[in-house]
Amino acid sequence: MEDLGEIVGEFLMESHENLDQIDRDLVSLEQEPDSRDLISRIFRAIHTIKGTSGFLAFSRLEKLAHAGESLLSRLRDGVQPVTPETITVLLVTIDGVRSILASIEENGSEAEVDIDSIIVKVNAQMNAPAAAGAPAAETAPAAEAAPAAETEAPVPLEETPARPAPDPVADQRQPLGQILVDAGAAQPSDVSSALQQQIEGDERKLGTILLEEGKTQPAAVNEALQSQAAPKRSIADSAIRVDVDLLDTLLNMVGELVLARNQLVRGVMEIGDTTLVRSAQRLGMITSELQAGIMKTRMQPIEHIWSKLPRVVRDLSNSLGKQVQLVMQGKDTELDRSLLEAVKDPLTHLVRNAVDHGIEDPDRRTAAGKGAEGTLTLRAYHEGGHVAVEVADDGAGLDVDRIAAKAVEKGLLRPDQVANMDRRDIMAMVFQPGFSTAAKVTNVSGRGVGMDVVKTNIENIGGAVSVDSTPGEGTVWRLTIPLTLAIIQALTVDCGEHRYVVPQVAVLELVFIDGQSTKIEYASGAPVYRLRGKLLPLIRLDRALGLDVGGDQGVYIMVLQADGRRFGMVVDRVLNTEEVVVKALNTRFKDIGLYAGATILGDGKVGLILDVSSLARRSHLAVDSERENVVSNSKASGEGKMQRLLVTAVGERRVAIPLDTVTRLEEFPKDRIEHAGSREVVQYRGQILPLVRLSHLLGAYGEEPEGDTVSVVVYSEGGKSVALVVDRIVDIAENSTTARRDAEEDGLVGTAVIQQRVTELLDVRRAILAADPNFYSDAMDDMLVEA
Amino acid sequence: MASRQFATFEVAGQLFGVEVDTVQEVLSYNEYTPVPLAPPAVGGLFNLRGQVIAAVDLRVQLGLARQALTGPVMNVILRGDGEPVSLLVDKIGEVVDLDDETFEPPPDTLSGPTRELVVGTFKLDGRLMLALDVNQAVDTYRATN
Repeated sequence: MEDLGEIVGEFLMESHENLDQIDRDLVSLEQEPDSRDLISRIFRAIHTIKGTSGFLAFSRLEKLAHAGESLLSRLRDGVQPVTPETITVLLVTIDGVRSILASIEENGSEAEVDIDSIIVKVNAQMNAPAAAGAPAAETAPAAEAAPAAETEAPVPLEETPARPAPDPVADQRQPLGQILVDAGAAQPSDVSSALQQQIEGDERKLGTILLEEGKTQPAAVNEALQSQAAPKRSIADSAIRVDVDLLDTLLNMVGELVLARNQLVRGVMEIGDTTLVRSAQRLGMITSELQAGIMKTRMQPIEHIWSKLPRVVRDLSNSLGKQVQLVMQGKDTELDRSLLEAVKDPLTHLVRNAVDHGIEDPDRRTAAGKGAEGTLTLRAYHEGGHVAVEVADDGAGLDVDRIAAKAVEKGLLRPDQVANMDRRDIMAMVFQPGFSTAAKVTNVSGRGVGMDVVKTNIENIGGAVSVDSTPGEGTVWRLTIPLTLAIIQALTVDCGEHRYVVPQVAVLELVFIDGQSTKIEYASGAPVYRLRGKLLPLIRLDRALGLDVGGDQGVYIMVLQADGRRFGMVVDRVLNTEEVVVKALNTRFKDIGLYAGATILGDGKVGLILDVSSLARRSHLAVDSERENVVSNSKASGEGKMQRLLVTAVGERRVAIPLDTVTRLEEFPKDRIEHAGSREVVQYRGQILPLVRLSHLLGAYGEEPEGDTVSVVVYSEGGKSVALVVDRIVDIAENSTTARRDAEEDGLVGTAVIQQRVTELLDVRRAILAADPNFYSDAMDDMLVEA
Repeated sequence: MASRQFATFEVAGQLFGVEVDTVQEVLSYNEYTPVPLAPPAVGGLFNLRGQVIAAVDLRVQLGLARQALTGPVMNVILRGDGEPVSLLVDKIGEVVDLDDETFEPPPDTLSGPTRELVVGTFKLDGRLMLALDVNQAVDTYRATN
C-alpha cells in the first residue's frame, strides 16, 4: 500500500508538470494551428496521463483524459481544424484533470469532481463542426491549410529529426553515415561501400573507415558524432529530482565548511609552512567552488513561473475582448527557487493588470493608429548583482493627471505638492495602499488591493518595484530582485557589546556624529538629526532593543528607508559590509518581530539580522509625516525642481553654487598660482586653468584666508575649465524655495535662506565669464591662453 | 519488564532526565549571542555546525536565577519539533536504564515552576531523578505567563 502511495505521488508530480506543458502548448497551438508537432506532443502527454490513471484505477480521470485524447486525435488526423473554441474546450479539460489530481492529492479520491459536464462539452466540440459544418469560413481555409502544410514540408521537417513525433519510443539515433551524407560531408556511394566493408568483417568503425580512405574530413565526423550524441541524452536522462531540503542541508554544511576553512587557513598562516599554506589555499579554492556549485543548484530559470502566464493572458484577453500577443525575453535568466516563489504572485498580478488596464480595446487601439493587437513583453535580465524583471505593454500609458487627482482625493497628497512633483513620483503613488484609478471595478483588478501588495511582497524579499510610462506608448513595470534570498549584502554594526547585521538594501547613507559639527538634537525628548536641513527622526538601537542606552557622541547614524519611511538609527560603530548567509530564526522569536533572521558571523558567532521595517513600526514613527518626507526627498533626487547646492564661504558671506555646475573640488598650493596678463592661472592637468576669486567678483574684500592653499570649485564644459576661488567649502544643501528674493547685486541671481543662514546664489555664468571671457565661444578655443 | 533509557543532567544540585530518544546530542559551548527582548528563559543563540540553535536556560524555567554565560556551559540538544533546541544545564550525568516500576508521579509536596515541568520521579540508587516534560521545558513563553 505504501508503495502505491509513492507511485501515486510520483504520478501527481509528473502529471502537474505535464499539464503545465500542455497549457503552454495549447496556447501556442492556437497561434500556429497547423503545427503537427505541438498536437503530437499534447496528445502524447494526455495519453501518458490516461495510461497511468488507468493503471492506478482512477477511472474518472481516465475517462476525462480519454475524451480529451479523442478530440486531439481528430485534430491530429485533420478530421477537424484547430479553432479557438476547440482550444478553450481542451483547456477546460486540462483544468478538469487538474482538479481531479488536486482531489486525489488531498483525500486520495477522485469521486468529488464533476467531469460529465466537461465531457459533454468535448463531445459537442467533436460533433459540432462535422455535423453542422458550422463555422464554414473557418473550416474551409483550415482544411486547405492542412495539405498546404504538407506541401511546404521542409519547414516542419527541419524540426522533426530531433524528435520524430508520434511514437515516443522510436530510436532517435540517426546512423552516422546518414548524418554525414545529409551534411554533404560524404558521398552516399562511399558510405555504402564502407558499410559493405563492415558487413564483410572490417571491425573498424564507420567513421574510421571513411577517414582512413580519405572520403571525409575529421571535423565533419566529429560534428556528426556530436549531433548523434546530443538528442540521445534527453532531459529525462540528464536530470534527477532532488529534495529542496537536502539542498538546504548541503548549503548549510558548505557554509560551515567555509568557516572551518577560514579557521584552518588562519592557523596555517601562523605556522608558516609553505606546503601546508599551499594545501590550505587549495582547500579554500575548492570550498569556494563547492559553495558556488551548491548555490547554483537552487537556481531555476524564470521560465518556471512565466510558463503559466500565456494561459493567463489568453483567458483574460478573451474574456475582455482584447487581442494581446505575449512576448517573452530572457526566459533562461536564473533566480533562487525561494525567490521565484515569492515573485510569482506579484508578477501574475502585474500581467493581469497590464492586460486589463494597460492594453486598450481593439477599437481604441485602431482609433489611436496602433495595430488592433497589443503586445505584452516580459523581459528578464541580470543587472549589477540583481535580476530585473519587466512587464511592458504598448497600451495607453498611465494618466499622470488622473493619478495626481486621485492621490489628492484620497488624501495621499496635498494639491500644492502635486505642482512640484516629478511625473515618475506621481506614478509611484499607485503603489500606495488604497489607491486605484480604475474607473470601473472589474473582477480582474481595480479593487485597490494589488499594487501596494506587489510592492510589499517584492520589498519583503529585498527587492524594489518601479513604474515608468509614456502617454500613448505604454507602461513598463519593473521589478528588481536580489539574486538569492540566502545571501544578502549587509552591514555589521556594534551596539553596546553586541554585533548586529543590517541589510544593506535599507541603508541610504551613514553619518558620523562627533558631537561638534554634527550632533543629535532633541525635540521634546525625541531624538532628531538635521540631515541637509531636514529633520530626520532617530531611533536608538540600544533603546529599541531594551539595552543600556549609550551616549550621543562618537556614534553613527544609519539613514534607513523601509516601508516608504525614512529614519535614522543610532549605533555605536559601523564595522564593514559583507555578504552574509541568512539562516531562518527559530520560530519562538518570530513574535519579537525585530529580527529578520540570523547569520553566522566571520568569527563563528551567531549574529542577529535586524528587520528594519518592523524596527520603524515598533518605534512609532509617525507614518504620514515620514511619507511626506520621503516624497519630497525623492523629488529632490529625481529631476525635480529642487536644486542641490554647494555652499561656500566667501569672507563673511555664504555663497551657494548649483551642484550640477560643479565638476570637481580642488585645493591648490598658493605658490602654484601664476599670472598671465592681469589674470591668475594655475597649471592643471596639462591645461592652463584661469582662476577667479569670488571675493573680488562679489566685492567682498576681506582678509585673505590663512593657510598655504586655496579652495577652488572647478567647472568644466566642452573641454574648457575655469576655477572659482572660495575661502572655504561649507556643505552641500538642498535649496528651499522659501524667502528668496532677486538680488540687485552684480554676479548673484538671488538670495535664499539655507540652513538658517542667508545665502547668496551665484550667477555661475557671469562668474565664469569673469574668469574667461571667451569660455562660451568655441571659435576662440586656441586663444584661451592669451585671454 | 518494560524499561526506558534516560539521559540525565543536573541543575542546581537536582538530577533531571529526559528520554534518550528526544536527545540529539550533548555538547559544551561557550559563546552565546543574546537575543534582546526575547523571553527571559532564552539564554542565547549559538552556532551548531552552521545551524542557529536557541538555548533555553533551564534554571530560569525552574524559577531560578539565569546561568552566567561567561564560560563553557553544557547543552542538552533536543530534537524538538522540526528545529533542534538546546537546554542549558549545569552538569551532564549518565545515561541510565530505568524500569517502569521505579517510576512514581511527582510528590504532592513538589510545587512551583518545577512541578509544571516534571512528569514523574524515578527512584535511583541513593537519589531521585525528575523526568522532564520536554515540550514544557523548552516552552519559553510559559515562564513569562
